[in-house]
Amino acid sequence: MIIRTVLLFCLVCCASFSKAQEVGYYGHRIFLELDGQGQIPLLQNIFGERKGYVSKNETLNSSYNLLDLAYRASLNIAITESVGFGLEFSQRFYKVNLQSVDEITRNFTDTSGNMVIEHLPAKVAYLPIRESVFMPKVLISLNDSRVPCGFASEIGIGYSLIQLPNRNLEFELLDPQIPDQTSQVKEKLLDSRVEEFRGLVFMYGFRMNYPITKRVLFHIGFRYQYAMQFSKKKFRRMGESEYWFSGRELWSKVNLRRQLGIFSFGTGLTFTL
Amino acid sequence: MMGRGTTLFLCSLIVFFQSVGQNDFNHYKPLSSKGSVPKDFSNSTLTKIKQDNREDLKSLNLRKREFFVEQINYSIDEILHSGNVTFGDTISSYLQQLGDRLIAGETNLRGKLRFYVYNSTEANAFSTRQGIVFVTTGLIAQLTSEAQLAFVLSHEIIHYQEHHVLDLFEYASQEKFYSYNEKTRFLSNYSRENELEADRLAVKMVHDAGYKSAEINKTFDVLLYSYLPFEEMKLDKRYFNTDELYVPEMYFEFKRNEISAKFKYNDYLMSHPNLAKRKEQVVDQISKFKEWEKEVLYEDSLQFFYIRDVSRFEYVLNKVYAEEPVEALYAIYILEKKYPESSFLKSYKSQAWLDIMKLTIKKETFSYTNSSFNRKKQRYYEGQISILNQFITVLPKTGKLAMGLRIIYDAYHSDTTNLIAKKCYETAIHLVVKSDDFETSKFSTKNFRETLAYLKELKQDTSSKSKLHAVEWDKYAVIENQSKGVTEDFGIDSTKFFMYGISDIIRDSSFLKKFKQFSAKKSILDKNKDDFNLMTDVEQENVEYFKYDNEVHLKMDSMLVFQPAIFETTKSSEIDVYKTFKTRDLVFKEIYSNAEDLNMHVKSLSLKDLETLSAEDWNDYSLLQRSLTRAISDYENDYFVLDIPNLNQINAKFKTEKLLFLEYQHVYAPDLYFGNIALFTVLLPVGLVYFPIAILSGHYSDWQFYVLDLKTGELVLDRSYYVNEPASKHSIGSRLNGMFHQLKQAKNDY
Repeated sequence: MIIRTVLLFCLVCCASFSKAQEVGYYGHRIFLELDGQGQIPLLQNIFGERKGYVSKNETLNSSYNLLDLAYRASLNIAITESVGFGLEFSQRFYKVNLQSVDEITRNFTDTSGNMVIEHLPAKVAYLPIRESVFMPKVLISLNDSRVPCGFASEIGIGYSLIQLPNRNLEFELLDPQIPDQTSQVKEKLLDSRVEEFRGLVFMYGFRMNYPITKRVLFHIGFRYQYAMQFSKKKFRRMGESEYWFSGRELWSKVNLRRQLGIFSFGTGLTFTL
Repeated sequence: MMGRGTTLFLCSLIVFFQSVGQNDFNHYKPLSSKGSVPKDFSNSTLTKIKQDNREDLKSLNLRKREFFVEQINYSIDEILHSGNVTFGDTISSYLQQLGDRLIAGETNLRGKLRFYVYNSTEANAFSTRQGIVFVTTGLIAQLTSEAQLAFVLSHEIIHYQEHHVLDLFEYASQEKFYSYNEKTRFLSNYSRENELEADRLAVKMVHDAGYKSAEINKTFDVLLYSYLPFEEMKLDKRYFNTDELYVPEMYFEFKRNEISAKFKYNDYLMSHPNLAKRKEQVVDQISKFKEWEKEVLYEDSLQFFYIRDVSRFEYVLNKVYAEEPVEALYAIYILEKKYPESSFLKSYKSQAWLDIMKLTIKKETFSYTNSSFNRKKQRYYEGQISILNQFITVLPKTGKLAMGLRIIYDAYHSDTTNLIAKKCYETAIHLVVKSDDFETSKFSTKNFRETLAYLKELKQDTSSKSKLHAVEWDKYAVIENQSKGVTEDFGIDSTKFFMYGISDIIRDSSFLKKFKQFSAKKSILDKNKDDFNLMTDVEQENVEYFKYDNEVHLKMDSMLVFQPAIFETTKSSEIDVYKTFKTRDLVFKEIYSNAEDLNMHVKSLSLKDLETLSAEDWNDYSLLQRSLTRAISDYENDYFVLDIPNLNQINAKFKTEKLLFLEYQHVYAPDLYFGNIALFTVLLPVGLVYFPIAILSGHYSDWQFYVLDLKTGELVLDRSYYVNEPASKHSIGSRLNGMFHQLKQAKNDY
């Protein structure tokens, strides 16, 4: 809430201090952008992850992790002919494969002081992630384009809130010899300490803005995003956990997934206000 | 034998023409179009393409045929709309008569050919597939007889008759697999053959028209030496001398540069064979007409000499507009012999000297910043003009300024009602004030003759003589006196003749008043410059940014929109004719729409509605085209005043002070070619970045906005933008909207 207030304050400041009278698109300096963003998770499939599982008809089927979509909304102001400032809110939906092999493991000391090491052959569905980003950004037109029209680059630093909207992951125990432990596994599948992660996003993008009417522009472009995740000390400490997926594992997997999702395409509309 | 009556009649005719000519040339008005507008001008390019009779193009396949028709009609219209071509004028009408006479025996050509004069100092003539023959004023100015012009016209008529343009295109487009070098070689060879054929057949045409054969071969002399001025006339050593100015004779004793042109030169890769071959062939061809000289031959009409003088006056005009003052002054020198009272020549001479003065000042300015920078290279002149050039070159800066001021001052005082002379005079004062080398106190208050007499008197006066010798100058007094043109032995330093050349001017109270007035303004500017130099980098940047931003605030509520120069090109830099016209219409539409949104009043002088344009509109169009070209070529340093009265008239006619001219060029050429497509397909992750950037940024649009002040004649804005945007309605519209919005603002105070 504080962040939002600060960002809004920045926007109002920019609007009131900018002296230029002839900037913007057809004289309109403030514009709202609505975008869709998506990416083909090529890098993570090449470097990061093997195929994971999705639930279909109550069974888990092997599948590539293709879902990575986002919507964005931003309110911007053209400060000079070539520079604009904006505040962006976006929500990105993607999935993380928690498994490297079809097995879940845990390793902890129980209440009686015995070391428990457990391995269960199992398939676990992708962990859905919802990442909300608040981002102040600067639009810089390339060559002599006039913001928001034409070819432009954008630079921004965003504050991310990474949430797990569905903690009840589908899973399937694979060894019929082992007595059914489904309910126990379900209870301790994900570390309960992990409610959300926070982090930063450093963004640089290129986009082409094609004017459609005097009030609306269509844009298409792509972005590079370098993601950083906070609370490393809290979650990265190697420690015992009775959860099948400890906070450390979740932090690392989400972090890796975010870092590999460096490149995304986006398209949308700009409305001048 | 001519009877006495006929002789008398001819003599009186000559006298009549001469007196009419004298009067005309004393108040010469530049060539202008007259009468009804020919279809070549009033039909749009698209109409011409549509109506083009493609019957002669059957040998080409459909694609090539369409390409040829589009390109050829477009390029000819570019010439017709360049502002350099006039219709209904003295020269074009004369050319038409002469052309009609030449084709009198060719029934298939009757009514098909149109002749226009192309105003340029280049000596050239060319014909088009559409049946238009252009002859430059530069060529006519060089000719010595009508028969030579008849030969040139015949040569061009043959090119048309024999479809040489088409032949060449067909030949060029057939050979797909030749390398560029091979193509150039073969094409040049092919073109040379066509030229020889045109010469051969032209001889017959000239013969049939009844011209003298001896004149034909002289045409090649004209062509060979056409890079020289139109006459080789020795510069009179007393040319610059007046009661107030004396230029020592030693300034005219330079060695004349030899004329180097040769008939036999290597014509490899040239479109035309060398002149020796052409001459040889023509001699051979003439020898086939054994009875030629015995036939009754046509005498050159007096009109030829009249139109040649018109062309020579136009030569002066073009040279002055092209900022080539030495050529202009030499041509003026030649013409002044015949037309000493011509106010046109006086005005143009003043402007040419202004250009010399301006170049002097510019060199001064550049020497502080970048000594190697020189916008125009020093030209090498051959023949008599080289003497004049050497005289001007050796004159020191102060000398050029003083000479310029002297000549301009005299021109103004010979006719103080002449607005151009007055403007030239004021601009000259402005220039001398601007220079760091011009101090009135250093100039002598006695002219050369008076000083000589004074010194003689002193030397004769024994008491003074002894007094003079008693004075001993120290080192600093010697330097000071040297700079004033006084030698150590109390003589006149003739290399400083100019120090004695403006004695009356520096005593003239009106001059001094203006000089002081401009000096005060300069002091303010100098102070601002000093203040600027004492600023920090950030402050200087802010000032520069403010200036840049403010420059475009011209408080324009109305404007005259001049025909925009718009080009849509393909990847291979060819004009996409249809797209060009589509974008042109779009730009016009957006100009009107955005101006209306911003309450700006727009008038236009454009070729959008060609059929509605009158000869007067075409003249205004040509005039503005010429003025803009000159103003754009030297933005911020243009002390050009010749066109101010005409621009003022346009201002009054359209009731708007500012003229907007814009250039726009667009091409979609994403940086994708076989090499990088293959490479980045293999390196797919890199390709994922590269391909979108290449595709998205593949639009290249260049904008150039110029605003000309019709009241002062100055170019007040020259702004360019380079963007990666498509040529769409709102890309163009939003750019124009932004620009108009800025133009409407009043200047801010810093």
